[in-house]
Amino acid sequence: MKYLYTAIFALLIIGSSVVNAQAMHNQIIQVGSRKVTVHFTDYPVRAERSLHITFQPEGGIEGLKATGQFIGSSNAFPLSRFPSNRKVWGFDNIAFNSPGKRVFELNIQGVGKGRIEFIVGERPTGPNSSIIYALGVLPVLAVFLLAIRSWLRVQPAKQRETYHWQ
Amino acid sequence: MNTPITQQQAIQPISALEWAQYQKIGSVLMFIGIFCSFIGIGWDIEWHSDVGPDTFWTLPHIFVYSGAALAGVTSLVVVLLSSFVDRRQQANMIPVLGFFRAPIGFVMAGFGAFGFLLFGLFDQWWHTIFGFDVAISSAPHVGLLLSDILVTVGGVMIFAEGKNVRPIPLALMIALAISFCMPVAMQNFFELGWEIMVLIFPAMIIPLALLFSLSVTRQLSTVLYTGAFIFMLRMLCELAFPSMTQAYADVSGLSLRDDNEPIVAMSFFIPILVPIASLIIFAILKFAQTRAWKLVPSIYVAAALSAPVLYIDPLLGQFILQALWALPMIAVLGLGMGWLGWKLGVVARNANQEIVALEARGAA
Repeated sequence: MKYLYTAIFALLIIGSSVVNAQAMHNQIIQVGSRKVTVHFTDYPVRAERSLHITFQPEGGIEGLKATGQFIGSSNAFPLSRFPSNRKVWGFDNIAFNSPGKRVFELNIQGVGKGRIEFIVGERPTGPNSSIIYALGVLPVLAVFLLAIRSWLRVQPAKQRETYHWQ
Repeated sequence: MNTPITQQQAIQPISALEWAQYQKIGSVLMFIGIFCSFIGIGWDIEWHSDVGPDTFWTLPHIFVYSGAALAGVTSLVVVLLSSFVDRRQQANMIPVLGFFRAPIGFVMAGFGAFGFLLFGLFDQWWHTIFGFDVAISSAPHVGLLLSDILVTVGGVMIFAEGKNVRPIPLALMIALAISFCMPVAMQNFFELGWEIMVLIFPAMIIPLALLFSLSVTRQLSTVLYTGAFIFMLRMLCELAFPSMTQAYADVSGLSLRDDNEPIVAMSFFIPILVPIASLIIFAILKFAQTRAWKLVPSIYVAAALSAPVLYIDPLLGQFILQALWALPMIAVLGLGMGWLGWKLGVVARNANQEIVALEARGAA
């Protein structure tokens, strides 16, 4: 048990150190006549790691509508206000599946278009998903094994009550 | 004056009467624990889709984890108590870790809850590396959710053991297990891109559950109770989760997303026509019973006719209209799963008696 606790704490410490390597990051892009601050809560961006990205135009978003598009991978879609800060547009908990360059185009209606480029780096060094999925399947495997064990013991095909009400 | 206590007096075996009471309290606590997790998971999914910001210490998470903790502690206490029950009562139990003996349902639920809390810890570590959840089907979530499925199956076994089960508690527990596990599993199927499973899963699992409930109790009304309880839990999800989410957002000073969709994820994946499916099974088997028809073909017909109703659930709308050609296959699938449910009911009715018989043989 002592080893289990040690292992768990070790894992948590390693995990936290990965987080500390990340930092917030702001980048300013020009959209028509306005400057827009693009805020990343985790930078550099890493594949499979979620972050928030917000867009704050100079003068605020009051009275403005915007659409966004990841060039080459999505169609244009309306940008929503960020749920925990309604004064900016943004994505909460967005993650990119694979590494590579991303180009995001912001189109503010009546103001103009602007683009931001950023690189999505490699997936953080963490546990291999397949191993975790394999471990995760164990509980349901236990259900099947118990059902099979009981089935083999009872042999329902040989029980009278399988074929009759009583 | 102190009276010396002999070892025999100190460890008195628990009597049959006391054991029956402990078991009853244990089963009620287990139900409450699973219900808490059910409310927590439904609320949490709604929170993620409608509001978003996530930390570990959200109210829905507290419901989920305290429900699992209650199920786990209940199992632990029942396993400890059952190990001190009179030997004659223990014949109905299975050995645990070489020393303890306990009813199979509590053992399953206990291991499920332990797995859940362990995967929960792992999920926390996962968040520190990969950030907060984007999807329900992340690797530690799969372990969490499947552990919870083990808890609910254990819960069903607690209410299904032996031949003297009561229809209403059993139907309620089965309905809770279905309303909990089915939508969660289907959301995972959806995210993993297994659309075919999203379409056919209710037509598989609900005939299985309905015929299992009937097979265990041998009272036709159980099918109606199970169907009605699933429907009630579905309506509870539909009515409660959006308002709970709104209220919690208000209290936390947050507001709902702009692009919020008016769909309650948990209830969306529970077919609204479950009571009709259970009514079909009830009507066909009642008819067969009064005419003294053979049981097996009657079950085949009842299961086969109930499945298409669950497949053509109107909520899936035009999505389903493109797949109507599959109805005959769905009927065959429902037949197979319904028959499997019936036979599993026979297994649940006889599993204990079989252990008793084996032990009697061993003793002889």
